[in-house]
Amino acid sequence: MDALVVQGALKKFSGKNGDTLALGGVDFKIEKGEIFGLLGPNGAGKTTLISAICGLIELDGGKITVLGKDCLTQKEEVSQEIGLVTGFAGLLQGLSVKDLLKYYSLLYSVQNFEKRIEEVLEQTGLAQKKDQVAQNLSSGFKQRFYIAKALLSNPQVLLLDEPTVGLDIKSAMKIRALIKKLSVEGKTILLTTHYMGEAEQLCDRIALINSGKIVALGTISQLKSLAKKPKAGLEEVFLKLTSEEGEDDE
Amino acid sequence: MMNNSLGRAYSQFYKNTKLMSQNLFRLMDTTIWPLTLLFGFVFLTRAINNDPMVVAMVVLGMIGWQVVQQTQMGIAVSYMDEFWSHSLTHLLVTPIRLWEFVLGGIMTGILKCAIVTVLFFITMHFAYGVSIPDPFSFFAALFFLFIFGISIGLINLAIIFPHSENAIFLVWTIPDILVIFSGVYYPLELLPDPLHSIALLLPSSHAFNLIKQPFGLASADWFSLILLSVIWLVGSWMLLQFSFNGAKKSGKLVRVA
Repeated sequence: MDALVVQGALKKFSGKNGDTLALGGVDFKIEKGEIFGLLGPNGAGKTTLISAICGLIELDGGKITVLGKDCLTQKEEVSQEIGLVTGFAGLLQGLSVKDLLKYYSLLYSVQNFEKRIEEVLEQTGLAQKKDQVAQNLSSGFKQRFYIAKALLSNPQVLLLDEPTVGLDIKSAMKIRALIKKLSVEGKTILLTTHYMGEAEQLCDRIALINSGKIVALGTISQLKSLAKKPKAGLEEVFLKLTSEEGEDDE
Repeated sequence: MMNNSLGRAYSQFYKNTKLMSQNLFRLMDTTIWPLTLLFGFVFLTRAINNDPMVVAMVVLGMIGWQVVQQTQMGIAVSYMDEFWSHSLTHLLVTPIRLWEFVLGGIMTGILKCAIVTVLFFITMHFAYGVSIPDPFSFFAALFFLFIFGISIGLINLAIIFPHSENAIFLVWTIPDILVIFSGVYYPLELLPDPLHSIALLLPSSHAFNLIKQPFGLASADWFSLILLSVIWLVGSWMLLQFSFNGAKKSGKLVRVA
């Protein structure tokens, strides 16, 4: 069974200037244990897609399943199977790392949560910071906190929405190493990033999304062949394939 | 399954109490501010009419209104803390269901109501010898005001979900508008005709009649009180669900595009 299946995902947002097509029939599958990159310019539909997987928005058409469970009708079960890491959401103000992890343990109904909290703190290298107010952590440690939170319920699928955005080189390297380690441990990972080097280093397969549509999907070498640039870097391939499909959303 | 639901509801109570205990300023809305208001009203009442019965009616009315206020605040603040921290995404991706989230807010509301009620009563009992003339009616009124507080909390959330920060100012004023119609400190008959008719549609005005009844200022209408309480509770819950699903559909629940 595939870990994540997106079938014909369609989403429009209505605004003052008419409808905006955020997802125009997106299809792809992610195998268990795979690191799957979702790359695209700003406004391409990456965050909308992740929101739909998490059940935060309702699709206008299509279906998304995680481990065979429907993201919309079986949201509670799916929520237990996915862990979201995003630096675009903040941290609840005033609580320590440990208290916040306890809060999320209650939300995820984690059994024996004291032990589990210690485990994820060790796993993410946050043990020394457990009594600090989470909000006051440095950006790198905040990202680790998000990963620790995402791991609490031991989910099979991790959604990493630009996990290294705004981090210094050293912190970003540590996060990438952690992602790699989680993949080795068997987690299925959907990764969005603007850093092509990161995608090249981590991803087994990559989907390029632009204006709500998948414009290319495959391994890095397949994408290079598709772009007819076998010796080019992923950045060049990305620009070639996304510009062929239309203008970028600046 | 039920244990999981209660655990998730408790998560909100845990969050709210943890935040309260770590920031003493947060306790001000259940201690200093209500007490300041209480003393202000009592001093004014005593200056106009020093009859202990009038003072008692004002104090018991204030306790009743605080039950509405603290209950609806318990629900709304549970959401607003996440909103202000920009952490709603982290909350909404968890398995928590709408009713579990609301239940957690209600638990917080109960704690806040208990603090204010005990504080008001002890203070006024020792300062002015205020007592409850008809405990059954009084506590029944508090119960129905608690239910009404839940309804107002649900309506507030229903307004906040699609409109977020733009709606906060409206939400904070709703109880101030309702206090006029509820006849907390005066007989409903004092209201002009059109307002009086509106007042009769609020369960709070009937609950306050229950509090005023022993003072000879009103007579209780149990049937209207129970019926309206149920209608408001069910109606507000349906409104909240409609609003939540609509916000999810339009992408306004969490900004994603």
